[in-house]
Amino acid sequence: MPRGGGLATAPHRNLTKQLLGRGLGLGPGVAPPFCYTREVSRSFQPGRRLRAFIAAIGALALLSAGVVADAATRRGVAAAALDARRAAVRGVGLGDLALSSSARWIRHPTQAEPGAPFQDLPSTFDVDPAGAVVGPPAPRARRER
Amino acid sequence: MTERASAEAIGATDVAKRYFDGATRVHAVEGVSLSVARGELVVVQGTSGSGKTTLLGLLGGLIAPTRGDVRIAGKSTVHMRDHHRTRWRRAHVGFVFQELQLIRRMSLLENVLLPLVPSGGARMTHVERAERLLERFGLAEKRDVGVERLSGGERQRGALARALVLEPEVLLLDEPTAHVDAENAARVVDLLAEEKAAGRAILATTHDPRLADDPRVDRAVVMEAGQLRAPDA
Amino acid sequence: MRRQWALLEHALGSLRRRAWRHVALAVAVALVVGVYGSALLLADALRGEWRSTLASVPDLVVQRLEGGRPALVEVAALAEVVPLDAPGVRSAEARVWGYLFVEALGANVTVVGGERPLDGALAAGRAPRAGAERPECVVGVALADHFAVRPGDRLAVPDARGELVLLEVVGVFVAASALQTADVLVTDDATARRLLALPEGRATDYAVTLSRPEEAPVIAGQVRARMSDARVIERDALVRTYELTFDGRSGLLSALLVPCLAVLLLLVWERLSGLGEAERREIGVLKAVGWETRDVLTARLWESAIVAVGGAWVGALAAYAHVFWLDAVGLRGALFGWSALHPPLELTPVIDPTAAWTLLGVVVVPFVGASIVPAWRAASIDVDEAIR
Repeated sequence: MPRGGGLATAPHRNLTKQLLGRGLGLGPGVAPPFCYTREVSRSFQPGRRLRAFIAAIGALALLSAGVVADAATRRGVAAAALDARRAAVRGVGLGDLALSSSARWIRHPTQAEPGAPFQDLPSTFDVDPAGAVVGPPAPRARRER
Repeated sequence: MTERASAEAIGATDVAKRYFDGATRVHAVEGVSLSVARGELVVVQGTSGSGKTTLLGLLGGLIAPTRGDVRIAGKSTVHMRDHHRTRWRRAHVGFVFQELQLIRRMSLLENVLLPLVPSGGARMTHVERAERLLERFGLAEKRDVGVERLSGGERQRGALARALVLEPEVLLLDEPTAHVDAENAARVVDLLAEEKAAGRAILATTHDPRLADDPRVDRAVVMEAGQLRAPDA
Repeated sequence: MRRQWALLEHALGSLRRRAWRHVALAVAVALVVGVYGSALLLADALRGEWRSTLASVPDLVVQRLEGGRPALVEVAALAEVVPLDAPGVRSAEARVWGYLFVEALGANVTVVGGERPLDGALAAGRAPRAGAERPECVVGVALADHFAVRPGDRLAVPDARGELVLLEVVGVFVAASALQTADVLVTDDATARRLLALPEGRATDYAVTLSRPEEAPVIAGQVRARMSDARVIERDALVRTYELTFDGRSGLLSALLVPCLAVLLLLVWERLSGLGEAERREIGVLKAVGWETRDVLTARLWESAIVAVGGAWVGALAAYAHVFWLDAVGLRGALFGWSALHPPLELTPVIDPTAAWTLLGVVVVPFVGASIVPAWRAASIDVDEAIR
């Protein structure tokens, strides 16, 4: 029975053989690394794993191409908006990124006092790691209410 | 042709293997000389621990001898570099281990084709040859079955098929009938006789009379405490 | 070549036979590379973001120190402090800016006062004019979104003494500049002073723009000579501070990942070597059927390279998706500090090749090494020993 099944699907096997041979960049007449006989059954095809592997690499490459395309698009958009951004920074006069809305040292680190003996916050080092998790104390006004 | 058939395929001259088991020195094989010609089926008998398996390993180039010379297909393998010996061995010797050493969760056909991987994998002729072997061994239906689901007899024949897939001149077998029932044992013996008829030199260790006493066995030797002697009577 | 394909095929089969273990290892690699890669990508993108607008920042900022802290400067003293007629100086001004805590927002707003040149920076509306009947302002996107205001709407902001000031929104910054202007409120000089409680005649600092930036040290020296309590921040110092900020934070995050990496390698070593018996046996079988040591090792190399490179590849893609498609969820908090006003993270990808190679070298190479060494040890013993 598996014999017969193998025979019936022979053209398909030949096709995959050709495809594999071509996919691996071998010219006509050059044997691909794995040859199929018509008897080779469905469950054991020496090239099947390789093809799955190449397909997986292809999928990753495709995703990577998507990422590269996305990156290029983003660069394009950013380049188009660059003049407006520069104008905004020139207009405001402060170039720091508005990533943090906590006190002065964080919002405009470059405008603070990098070399001063006393930084403007009581615990300068603390604001980095803890600020990410804990957040600022509730305003006194709110607590008193 | 007859001349070639009578030529030596594998042989050893005064070969010895000693190793240390803790502090005691074990003479596993001590001064054995043996020669097997093409088309000859030789059986090595002996109790367990008599050094049969070590002798087989020495002849097959799996174990380096402490002393003496081993020739495979007319070449001394003792002084070969490791990878040369491995290649030579792959080309000329088929080995069936007592524990068979098939890889679990791999199909039978894949196991049979395993020796072909380093030389570039199975080509069409190889696959066809492997399939013919399996068919001859009554394993055609089991080709894609994982070896852990095969019966003892099927595994035994599968291991034999793997040993034969590269068509070696020499076939070495360690207790080929030890783990199989009478019917399967007879089948293995038949297959060995066929291979012998095909001109292969066959050396099998056994303490199984089903194999040792078969009329198609050309010669039997007995191993005892690492040395060979002629069989009793 | 044929041999490599055959060994690769065998390696793939071997991977499939122990699929779960290898999937778990690949996921671990992907996690380490992904988290580390996210941190790198985010930090690099932010750095790139800041660098792209660097040229628009004033060349020198002059502050006055009082007790080691910045204090207000005299507007009238500008001409005395900055050598306005020096050849390199293009313009100088006394700036009025500062922070205003807005309770409704739970965050600080950066208030900037004065006539600002905002041409080309606004998505809608115009720059605020002084002397309008109602004070006017331009706001950043985050503020506009939070208060749901558009040009023409009114915005009530409490000043520093708590009294509400009603401002008319006349413009909104372009969304593209959100990273710089999200929390900015630009208004006229008088309103800014009121909001910040800044007395008349005083300013926050002096900003100097040079026509030739390379003369900054010279001008800075002149300023220091003219004003004894001045601290002059050159643009170089701004750059340094800024780079350090994110280098420091992403470095902190990376340092946390070192133990993760160590654990991963330990896991690899443990799983691939300690596992022993079955695998050693398999290697023994391969050698027994005529594989050379290098065949065994090559197959093994393929195996672990597929796991490591595949995992790292997936991890890198995941890092990109995380930073640029998912706005670095989870990571932004660790990298930015606390924020109530999140600007939309429309970042431009910047990839530092050195960092990428370092990452690969740190993860993939040790991984492959850790899996090859035990295989090499197993493959170089006698066949006889391996299968007994």
